Amino acid sequence: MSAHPHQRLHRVVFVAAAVCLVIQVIEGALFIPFVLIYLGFPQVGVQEICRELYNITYQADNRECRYPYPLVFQDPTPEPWREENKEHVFGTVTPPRPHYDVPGWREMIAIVERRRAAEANPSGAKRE
Amino acid sequence: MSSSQSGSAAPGYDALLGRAADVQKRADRHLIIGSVLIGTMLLGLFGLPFFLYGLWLLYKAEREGLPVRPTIMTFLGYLVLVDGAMNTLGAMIDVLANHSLIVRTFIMGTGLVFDAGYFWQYNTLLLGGASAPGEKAFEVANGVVLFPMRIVAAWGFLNMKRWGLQWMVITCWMGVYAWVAYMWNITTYSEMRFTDVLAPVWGWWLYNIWYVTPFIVMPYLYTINREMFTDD
Repeated sequence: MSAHPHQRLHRVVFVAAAVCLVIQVIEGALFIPFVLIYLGFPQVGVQEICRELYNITYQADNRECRYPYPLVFQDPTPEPWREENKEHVFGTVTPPRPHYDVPGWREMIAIVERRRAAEANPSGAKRE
Repeated sequence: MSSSQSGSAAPGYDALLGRAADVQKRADRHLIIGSVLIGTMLLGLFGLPFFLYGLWLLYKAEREGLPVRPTIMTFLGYLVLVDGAMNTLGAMIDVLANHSLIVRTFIMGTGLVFDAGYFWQYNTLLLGGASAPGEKAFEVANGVVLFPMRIVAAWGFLNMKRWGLQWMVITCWMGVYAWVAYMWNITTYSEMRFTDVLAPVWGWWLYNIWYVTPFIVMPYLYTINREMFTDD
């Protein structure tokens, strides 16, 4: 009987695949129950957990987990809705609004010339 | 072959092949039902008995000497199939169902435990769901293109079709690409994803490393006899 030339490799692949498959199956079955139980279900309801998670992530004490959420959105602004200024809550917002000062058509020439003048005469630029 | 048309051994051999095909079909039916249920995550516990029964049918047939698909192929095929099913669902619930109660609770809960990319500013962007930089692009690309393709490839591979083997190779390389891109994305934004959560980087290893299926499967795909796979 001739051994398959890649027998050892296939053994390693088989063991790795079996381990991964078993863990994926167990993880797939238990992930959601684990998270819910970790967060206190069933003593506290799913909607209450959801609300408290919102309060943590939005760092506000008055968030609600609207449920059922309207299928057709009445309010096009993303959650947290009616928030005046997201930067107040989170710091830098994604996507950011950097308010770039975009140069106009060939305005870069004037910008560079101003820079050159300033660098050529630093003290003079300071006095002006 | 001419031996299948004449000779006393041929009818017995045909009957054996027929029985093997029947067992294979029955086992695959249980395995696919189990995989799909496991892929839904919430119903995974109900899928487990189906899955184990399918494996047991194949094991028994092999012990009887029936020519069924090799065990390693069954494991690899279903590894890719379950991986594909779970990732398709995981990505698409965040893209499409990010305002349902269970999804908000589960994803934000998971985010707070493992990966703040699924917690930070959740549901604040126009599309909703995870707000982590780059994450939505991965969800759509993986959940619409890569993982559905991998499910189909695994099914073709399990049926020992040539196209199944080819699609496994193709989607494994796509998977390598997705892993490299995803790893660099989460590493680049690690300061917002793995800060102030319960189980940061070690938690990621704990639950995510088991999905490196392309790297496990590929060495096998390149070292098997391709003649085993049928052309049709």
